[in-house]
Amino acid sequence: MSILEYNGGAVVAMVGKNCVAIASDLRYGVQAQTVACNFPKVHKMSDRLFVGLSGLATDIQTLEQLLRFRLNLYKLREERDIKPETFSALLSHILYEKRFGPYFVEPLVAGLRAEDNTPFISGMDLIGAPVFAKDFVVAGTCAANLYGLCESFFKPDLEPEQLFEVLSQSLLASVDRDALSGWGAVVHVITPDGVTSRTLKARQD
Amino acid sequence: MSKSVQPGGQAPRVVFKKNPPAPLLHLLHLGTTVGVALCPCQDFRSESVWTEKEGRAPEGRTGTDTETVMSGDSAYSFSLTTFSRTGKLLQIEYALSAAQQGKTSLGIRATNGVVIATEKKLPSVLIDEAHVQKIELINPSTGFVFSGLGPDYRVLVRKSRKRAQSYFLQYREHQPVGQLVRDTAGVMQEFTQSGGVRPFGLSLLVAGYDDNGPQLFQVDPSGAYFGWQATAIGKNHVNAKNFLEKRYNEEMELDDAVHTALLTLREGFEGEMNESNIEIGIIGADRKFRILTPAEVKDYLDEAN
Repeated sequence: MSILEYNGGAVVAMVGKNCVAIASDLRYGVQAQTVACNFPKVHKMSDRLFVGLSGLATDIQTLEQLLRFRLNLYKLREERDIKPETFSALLSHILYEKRFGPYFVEPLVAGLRAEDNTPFISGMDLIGAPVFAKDFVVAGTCAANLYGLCESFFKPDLEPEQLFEVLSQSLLASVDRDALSGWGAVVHVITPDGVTSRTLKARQD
Repeated sequence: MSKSVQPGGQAPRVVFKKNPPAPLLHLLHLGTTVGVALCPCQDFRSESVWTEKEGRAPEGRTGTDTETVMSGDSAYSFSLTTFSRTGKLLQIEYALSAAQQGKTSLGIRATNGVVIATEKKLPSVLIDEAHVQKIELINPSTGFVFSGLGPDYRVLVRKSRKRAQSYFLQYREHQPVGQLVRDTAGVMQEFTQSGGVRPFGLSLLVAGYDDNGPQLFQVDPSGAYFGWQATAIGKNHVNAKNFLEKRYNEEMELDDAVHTALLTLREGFEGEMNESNIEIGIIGADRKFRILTPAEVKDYLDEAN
């Protein structure tokens, strides 16, 4: 078993029309044993920028703290909010710095660009090789399931409410067929007017 | 061990705390015999050489005296830039006058870009002007020009380019001008406070264009930096600034700014100005800094005539 699958979890981000959504399950487990159902893997980095971290829970927490630290310094130094592209590059750089002793995480980045409200998503592997997608990115122990469902459900230019629905259904259906993720989910939809965060009622088995 | 110079012009004396320098041990034994721990230490050897050269041999003044003790491992790392009794840092002021004796450079910020220009007059007609370059590209959207010591400039350019590239490596985004100026000024400041170095003998003008629009900065040897609409540094900077104050207006576009820059440069120019004895760098709304070719400079000069 890969150490990336030790705690389990699923993260997915999807692009809509002038909006973007990112979601994760809530399970924290130790192999097959579920320990807690209150472990969200998506973190708010700034008003319109979120990062989803799947993988080893300890590294998720460490990396989240490290990113917050770097971002706080960035804001003080540059007196501006970081662009999603720039944040993605920074994250990629941080991960590759640990090329031979990596953080066991697969991150996703989702944000809205400040200039024109266009969405940005990216995903990367544990050493920071990025992928920039126009539609969706997935990560976690049920990434294969997520690919299948997102490929079936995704349509371009969805409005925020439709996007929420498509993303939620894709995630819920995916985690239901994965023993290592599920036990609740949380979805964030980022629009120019603000962020709506919703906790989904999911199967608890 | 330590040295201390007594105030009031008394003879300098050397005070040992614990470990006397090895080469001085024989002196100790010739003089009074005092119970000193004999522990030859490499670090002190070079210091004692210095002491002897300066004629500050302890003359048998030995003992376990511990007054005015400074840490011994940094005897050579004192900063050259030390406050004078009046609270000035003279080395920085000297560096500034070195900058002000350099060839004139100037910069103008227009609505849609920035121009920097400089004199490139050489001491001999035999020097090939084509191999002298005073304006340098730091990152695609930033350029430097200087007045002062050319070799010092190259050091600074190298450091700033490296800084800009490491920013790009980390963020995949070009370093904003303000950040680059701050980092460069930080380097210049470090050279006023570190041991074994002297301040940079130059002032910089930085032209750049980023999300905050066109910008012009000046950085001085002290590490102080300022944003300008138009300014000049080097020889004649006072006259040039007066001239710019009269000619500058906020609606000026880049082409006008280049002409104004040429006129200002001509004010203090000794002899005939031509495309090979001046240098011009511009950055426009495309955010690409570039140095004008002699042919382009000639076109601007011809237009001005």
